[in-house]
This record gives sequence, C-alpha cells and structure tokens, in this order.
Amino acid sequence: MGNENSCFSKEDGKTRETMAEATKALQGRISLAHGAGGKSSAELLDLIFSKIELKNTPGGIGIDCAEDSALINLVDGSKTIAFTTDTYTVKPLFFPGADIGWLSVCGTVNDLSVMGAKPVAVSCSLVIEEGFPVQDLEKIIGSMNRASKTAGVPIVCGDTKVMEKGSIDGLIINTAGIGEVADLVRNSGAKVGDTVIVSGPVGDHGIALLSVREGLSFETLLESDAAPLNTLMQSIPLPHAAKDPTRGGLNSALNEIALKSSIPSSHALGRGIEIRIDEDKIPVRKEVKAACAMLGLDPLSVACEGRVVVCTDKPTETLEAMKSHPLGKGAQAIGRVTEKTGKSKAGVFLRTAEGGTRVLRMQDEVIPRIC
Amino acid sequence: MKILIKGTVQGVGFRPHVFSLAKKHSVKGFVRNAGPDVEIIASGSVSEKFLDGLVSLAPPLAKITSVEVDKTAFAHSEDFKNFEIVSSCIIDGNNFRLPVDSRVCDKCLADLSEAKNRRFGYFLTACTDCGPRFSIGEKVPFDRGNTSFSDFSFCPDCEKEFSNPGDRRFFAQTISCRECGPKLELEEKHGARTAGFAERGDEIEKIERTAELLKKGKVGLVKGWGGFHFVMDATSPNVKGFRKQTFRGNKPFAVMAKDLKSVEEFAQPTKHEKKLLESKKRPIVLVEKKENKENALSLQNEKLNEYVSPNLHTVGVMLPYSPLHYLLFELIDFPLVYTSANKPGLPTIVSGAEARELFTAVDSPVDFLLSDNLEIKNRCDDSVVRMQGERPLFLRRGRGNVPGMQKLSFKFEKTVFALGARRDCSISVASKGMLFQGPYIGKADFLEVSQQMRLEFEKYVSWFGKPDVIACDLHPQFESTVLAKELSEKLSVPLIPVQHHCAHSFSPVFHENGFSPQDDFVSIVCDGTGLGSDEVLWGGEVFLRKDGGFERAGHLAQKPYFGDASAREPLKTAASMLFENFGEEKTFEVLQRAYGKEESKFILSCLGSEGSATTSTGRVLDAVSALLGVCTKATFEGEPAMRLESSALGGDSCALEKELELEISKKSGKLILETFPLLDVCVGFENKGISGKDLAASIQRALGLGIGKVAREVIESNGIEKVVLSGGVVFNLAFAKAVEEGTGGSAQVLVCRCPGDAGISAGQAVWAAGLRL
Ligand SMILES: [Zn+2]
Ligand SMILES: [Zn+2]
Repeated sequence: MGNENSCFSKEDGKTRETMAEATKALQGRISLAHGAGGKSSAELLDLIFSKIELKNTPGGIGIDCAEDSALINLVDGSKTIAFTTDTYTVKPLFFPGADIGWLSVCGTVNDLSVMGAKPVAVSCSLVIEEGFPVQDLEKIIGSMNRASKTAGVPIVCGDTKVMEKGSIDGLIINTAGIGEVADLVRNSGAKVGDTVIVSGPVGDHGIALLSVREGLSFETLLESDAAPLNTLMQSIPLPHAAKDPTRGGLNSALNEIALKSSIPSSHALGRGIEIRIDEDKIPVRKEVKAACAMLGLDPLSVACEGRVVVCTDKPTETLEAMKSHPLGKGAQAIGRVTEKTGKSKAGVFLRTAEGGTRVLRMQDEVIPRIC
Repeated sequence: MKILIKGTVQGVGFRPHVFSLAKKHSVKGFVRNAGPDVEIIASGSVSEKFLDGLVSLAPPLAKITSVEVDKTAFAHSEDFKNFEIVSSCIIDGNNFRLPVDSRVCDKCLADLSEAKNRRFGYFLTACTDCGPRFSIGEKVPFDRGNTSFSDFSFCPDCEKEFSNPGDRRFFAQTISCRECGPKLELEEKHGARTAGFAERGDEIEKIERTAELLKKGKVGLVKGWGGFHFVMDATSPNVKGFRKQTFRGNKPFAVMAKDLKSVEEFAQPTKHEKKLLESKKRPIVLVEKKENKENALSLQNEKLNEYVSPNLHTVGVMLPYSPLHYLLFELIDFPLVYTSANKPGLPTIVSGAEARELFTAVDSPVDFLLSDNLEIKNRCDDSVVRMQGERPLFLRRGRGNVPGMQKLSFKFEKTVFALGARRDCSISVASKGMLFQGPYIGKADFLEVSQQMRLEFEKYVSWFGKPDVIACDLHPQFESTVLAKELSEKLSVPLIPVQHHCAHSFSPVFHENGFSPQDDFVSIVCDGTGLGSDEVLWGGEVFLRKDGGFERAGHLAQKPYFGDASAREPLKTAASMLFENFGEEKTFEVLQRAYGKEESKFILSCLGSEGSATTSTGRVLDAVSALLGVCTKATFEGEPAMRLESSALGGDSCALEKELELEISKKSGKLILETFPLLDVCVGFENKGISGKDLAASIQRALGLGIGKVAREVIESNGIEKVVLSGGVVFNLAFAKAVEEGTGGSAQVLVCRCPGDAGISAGQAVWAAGLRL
C-alpha cells in the first residue's frame, strides 16, 4: 500500500559516519544553524578540520582538539603559550548591561582563562559598515577599553576595514589573545567523583539580548552577564576541567566536557564519565525562566558570556573562593561527575525536581514536546 | 492422528481439560504444549464428541482460534496404553502467546474464607482458571519453569493436586501454598520488620496489621500482580497531603472498592460499566461520581475524599482482583486509593529493591511496605477504560489486556517494532500476521523510560525475532525516537518515523468492523499536539485515505503557540491565539484575569515574537477552559480540557448555536476551520447572560460539529463510506458525539478503541507494516 515518499513518514536509518557524508550533508549552503553551537555547528567544524593539514605545533594542542585556546610550547621549552581568536557579530550591538565591544574583549580573555592561562594581551580588528555612526563606534571602543582595564589585559594590536554599505550589518569585531600557561586546565579533564560548579545564574546574556531583539518587557532590567573571568579563574583551586558556557549554554558546555573527558586517550580511565546535575540546584533567574517558558526555550541552552562551569575535587574551597569574588556570588554546586553506566551514548543527565532523569543533548532547536 | 489447537491455550488449564476429556471418551495418547499451541497425539480415531468438547467445554481463560485435525499423522504409530500429559516440546518459530492475568475465581475465593482449607487466607491462591499469567511469564510455552514460580518447587500437597486429574489445580502451572509459595512481608516505617522472607510468619496477622494501618490513614506501598501501588483510605483527609508529596498535582487517583455496592456509594456506574468492572480483566473504569448532576465540581461525599479526583465529574474505579485484595476488604469498610506507584511519567515500580528504596527514602510518602518475593517478569499497570455506551475505549492498556494478540486484517509476514511517541509510551510489534501491543511504560521524556523500553525491546526480540523495520514518531527529540534511531543503526534495519496523527489514524484499522489499512477512509484526529511534516504542531486534522494514498485534507486554523510552558498555563495559549484579532489592549485585559500587571505586560511582549504554531484541538479547548475561568493553570497534561468537560456537564449545548457556527474556508487545497469565534465568545461572557456551563457545553459541541463538517465535505466529495475518529480529545464523549453528528451520517463512524497516545505504537506498526507490504 502506501506511497513511500509520503510526507507522513520517511526512512532514515543510516548514520552519517564518514567524512565524505558529513561534507555532503553541508553541501549547498551554510545555514544559521551551523553557527548556533548545536549539532550542525559540530558538523561544520568537522568539515573545516578535515581540510586543514597542519593543525598543531610540536607538543602543543591544535585546532583539532577544539579547546577554547590552542597551546604552543616555546622553542626553548621554557613556557607554554595559549592562543585564541574569536569573531563577534551580535544583534543588537548595544544591549542591557553591555555591548559588542565589551563582549569581544571578555570573550577572548575568557577563552584563555578557562584553559588555566593568564591572559597577557589581546588584539582587535574591526570591520565597519560604510555609514556607521561614529558616536556608536566611540562608545564601543570605550567599552573595549573598559573591559581591557577591568581584566588588566592590554589591547596591543589591531586592524580596521570599512565595507561597502549593505555588505555587512553594522560592525564585526575580531579579537585574538595570548596567555601564559602555568597550570593547564583542559575541558577533557573531568574525573569521576568531581563536583560540578557553575559560577552564577545561567542564560542571562542570551535572554538579555533576546529581550531587546523581541521587545520583551521585564519588570526589572535583565542585564547580560558578560564579564572577564580571568581574575575569578585565578582565585579558585586548579580544577580538573573548566569551560565557559557561551553559545549552546550550559548544556553544550557540559556535553563537551562529558564527551571529551570520555575519550580513552585522555586521562579518563575505563568506560568514560557522565555528568549528573540536579535541576533544582542550577541557578536560573526568575526572568530568564519566565522568558524561556513563554518562548519555548530551555534556559540550559541559552548563552552566557561571563560564567564558568568547573569540575573539581575541591568543591568547598572552590565555592568559597568563587563566592568571595564579585563575579561568583551566585556560584552553586549543581552536580557530580560519575562513571559511565548503562547503554545510552548520552553523557549529561538532569535530575528533575520531580525525580525523573532527562538526557541533555546538544540540539539545534527546541521543538515543543507536549502532546 | 494429530490435533493442533491454536490460540491462547497455554497457562489456562487447557491440557488438563484435554486430559479429562480424553479419559471420558477413552482416547489414548498424549497432550503437550507445542511451541505456542497445544498438540494432541492419539492412536486410532477419536469420537466427534471429543472433538466438539475440545472447544465447547474449554476452560474460561482459553481463546481458541483454530483446531486442525490431521488423520494421517501418526496413523501407524504404536497403540498407546493410556492418556498422558507430557512435557512441552519447543518448536522453533515466534508465534508468541502468553495468557492475560485474570482475577481470582470464585472457587478460589471460597477456599480463602474456608477455615479448614489449606489455603485459608493465603494471598496467592490460584488455579487453572485464575491468577497472574503475563505478569509472571518469562517466555513461552507457559510452563512453571518459564514463570516466576520456577523459584518455588511444590510441597508434597501441591504436587499431589498438580498431578491429580480430578483436582481443580490439576496441571495448573501457578499454584502454590503457604508451605511452598512466596512469602508476604510487611514492613513499617517506625517499627521493626514484622517478618523476613526467610521466616514463615503469620500472613493473616500481616494482613490484619495492614488493615489497621490503613484505618489510621497511613499510606502503603503494596505489591500487585503487575507492579506496586500506593494505597490509602480514599475517604481520609490525608489524601490531599499525599497528593502533594508525590508531585501529582490534580491528576486523579484510581480507587479500589470492595464491590459494586461500595462503588455505588460514591459513583453511579451504568449497566455496561458495572459489567466491565466485574469482568475477569478487572480494569480501572472511569465512572461518573454520585450527586454530580446538581453540583458537578464540589463533590462533598463522605464516601470519597474530594482530592481523589479533584474538579472532575468522573473517578477511576476498579474492583479487587487478587486474593490479597479480597482479604484486605474483609477487614475494612472504605474504598482505597489504589494508584500506580511511580514518579510522574516514570515506569511503575516492580522490583522489591526499587520499592525498598522508595520506602526508605528520607522524603518517602510511604508509611508501610507490603510485598512478597514473587518476581514480576512483565510490568503491567492497571488498564484504564472509559465506556462509550457499550464500547470500552482504552486510556491505557495493561493488566488483563496484555499481551492481547490481535490478528492483522491484512497479510504481513515480516516483523515491525514500533516504539510509540512520548505520552503513554508502549512498544507494539506486528509480526507474521499478528499484532502484539505491549503494556504501558511511561512518558518518553525520561531516561528511566527509555531504559525500560530498551529492556522490553530486547525481550520482544527474544519473543518475536529481530525486526525488519523499526517505527517511531516524527519528533526527533522524544527519547523513544532517539532510542529507535540508535537501535535501527545497531541492528542495521530501516527506521520509519511516522507522523503522530497518521499513527492515530491507523491505530484502529487492523481488527474492527472489517477495517483494513488498504480500505479508503476518512480519518478525523482530535488530539493534543504532534509534530507535523511542515514543522507545525498538528492536532485537529482530517485525513483522506484513498487509492493507497494518505493526505491531509483539512485542519483547524493555525494559531500561534509557545510550546511546553504554555500548555501548562492555558491562559497564555488563549492570549497567543487571540492576539492577532484582539491586539494589545484587549489581550492585556484577558491576561489580567490570572496574571498581575507586570507579568501580563511581559507575556504580551512575548506574543509578537516568532514562536511555533499549532492546529491542535486540545489547545483550543485548553484556551476555552482558561477563558471561562475553569482552569487557568494546569497541574498535569490535559487537565484544562478535562475540567472543561466536567464543567459542561448538564449544560445546554445548543445555546448560541448561530454565533458559534464555525466558518470553513479553503487554503492551498485544504479545508480550514476557523476557531476564533469559540475563544471570542468567552471573553466577557459573564455580561452576556449565559452561564459558563451552557457556554462550555456549546463550545465543545460547536468545535466537534465544525471538524465533523470539514470531514463531511471530504467524505461527500470522495464518496467515502468509512470514518475513523481518533486522538486523545475523543475521550470527551460529548465532543465525539458532536463530531459524529457533523459528519452528516452518510458514512459509518468508528471511534478508535484506543484513541489516545496509548494507541500510537500500534498505529505506527500498522502503518509501517502497510508500507512494507
Ligand atoms: Zn481459581
Ligand atoms: Zn504447596
């Protein structure tokens, strides 16, 4: 009976295992989903990594490790340098609590900091659309300056390009940064028995942005959490793993730690690890919850720009240190790293307030479930 | 000669039946279980009376589908001296049959109360005609060694009964007694263990103590045949507190009552409901509460605490099914809350270890644990049924109805495993012309549910063999879909995701009224939401099945929808649906009915955003429920619509008939039913001189009529003779009746036997099997 091509069902039994197929999947056009930090982003990265041949310096950590920063061992072996770069496009350019300038410096400082590096200097490249108001530019550069001073990291070089009107939307900023590594922290280092700690409420940045974009009207102003994390990171005991949850939110950050810490070649032993967190321990602001509920978003998948999640065997000291730092006042222990159990491939599990366990997976979008 | 009897013939006392019949008619030879069937080998020929008797005198639990006589087989074999029951022979093949659990029979009940009987007060009394079957069966054939009773060998007395052809327990696989059977154990929270499994202890004493605890309003965790139950006095004021402790919101509890007389003290079952309540399957039946004609929603009845099924005009009731239940009801004179012991949406507890964990937890809602050491092999929750006149509609398929093998109405020699959707998940298997529908598992949001599904999947592979195809929902993020995908990759078999309402449409068509999936029909699906092929959440759909094609022919007008959280807060749904017509100011006023100024402002500001959209029937009824002030915040899925139905009871459904006539338009070849007037009329209804009750009844009817009329156009322009009505909203019987009326009567309307999500896996299996023909 039936028509095999019917829209009511489709056959889809095969895994996309080989690189060739991953490439095929991307062929045609890049979609916005490829930049959203979910599954499609991972596919895009796979494609890029497969095309680049020289990925690493001798003994260092290169592009294929997808850490927050690369590591370069100096030729004389005296020092290890962390090196990272990021490009910022954000709509709108100004939002509650921050702007693109502030964000671009913090982001790079944070990518260095979560690797355990002490940021030394950052660069700044601006791509500006023809007709962009000078006043706005001044404000944005002012924010970059403030961020650099707050973090104590100078902006040491840069570049400026002006593009024809309409070819970009306002302003794009790229920053790169280097840092000195004393004690390396990798996002693949989580160990069974570790406590998972997040430095403050999650999702503020994403919802603050959305509130401007969609004109949401909160009772109190919800501000972005964007902030440089270097001093916070330097104040806590060395964690086994750390990650700043940016695009894809806490969900993506934890999934990345769980996945990478389970790769047999890393220091994880045996069957790998799982991360188990408790829904009622995760700090989420009331406004963020309400907005997510209305818009059908999961707060755990909404972006932060000034939070860090760490896996540590010194939970008490870490919490104490975080709470005494201005950026870590809302720090909370949210779960534990456990040994991998069961047959599921998943790595992050959320214990709901009612006692069920939900699997947290990286996803491109949230589709309403209630039927 | 050889006689092969097929059907449900094992574990139901069929071989003893053959044995006594053979003795009577002097047949010589033997009988045995052969694979899923029973085989008789006899020397020479046998009398017609013997053959007749095989069927006409068969034991009550047997279901015979065919008797094949082969006169040539064994024609030259040696003459047998007598007639014997011999051990089973295992035949390769996967024609799986397990009998269903069946309520303790009257003869066994008599044993219970007879002081001199060996089984006086014995909580697991059973015979060939009664007792647990599927719940304790591990595989076929249904022999003691393949059940949980393999852990318990017969004492000399039981052995004697088992081998005595004159005994009611002759060859009964699941008999035991106090001497040799499982032991009852009672543990109290603030007290020592009454007795361990190792000790004998006095069972009757434990049951008496249990009754005492229940009388004090204590909450028990009590083992049933297919899983544990939370049990407490249903008249106790403690029900409210218990509800809170178990995160149930307002979700109704099931009740167990001693007998029909006791049921009638708080409810008014119809003739057909009574019959079903007393049937051997002993399902939970939704019955109307008493005294609700005058005041539906404030049931003040000392025979049932109002928090048992708050704000609803119905209550789910069952009668005792196990000997333990009967023993308990000898000692108490009030109905009991008897509800599956689980966390919301998670599988019901079946193992002693899980039960102990729950019982000993710091925040445990349970005061005592009454259990035994008989292992539950197959979890099966109580079946839940609502009667549509004489026809039972299943809200959940479980004890007494699983496995319930059904013949497919079309030829299909391969094997499909279907994993269901999200709510009320179960696994169905279409294999070699038969459809197996597994028991309810849970809500596929949770790892615990997908873990259980994985175990059941593996078990069913051992029963039916490896699938050729796996079917699942179209929604990529249900745990059932994720699991289906993983298993299809592991087993290298194709995965067929089936649209939710397509599955609802095919769920009924395999066995009833000569329906076959190849037939032409129109299907009306009135449901919550399911992901459509256009990324919109469907749920008010009319499909046309014609010439082997299946297409969406009409639906409710698409309305903005903000997902999961607004399903919990139906006034938000209402606001988002009204917004495009009402604009800011008027929508703001609507929101102010349940939210403060700032929150209303915030919600309003979200309404302009890009969200998803839905054509769901359930969401429209939710919105109406909120706008009428019946239910503005839901504590469980479907609550607003259920309460709307209760609030409409006794209302005039023909009020405002003109205003509520819904417009049907045509857009890109599909018929669209506009629902805005239904919501519009609710706003400020208090000033329009109509009661909420009449309005609720009228809106339900108008919506039902409207979608029925959409179907009517499709029926008439295509010359269709059969209509399937499915989807969760169909349990609202007044609504279903209006839909039927709307179709105009030219076609026969069949309401799906299992219209809610409990029927999804069966529908997926039938659709996928159809594709693979
Ligand atoms: Zn019996
Ligand atoms: Zn015995």
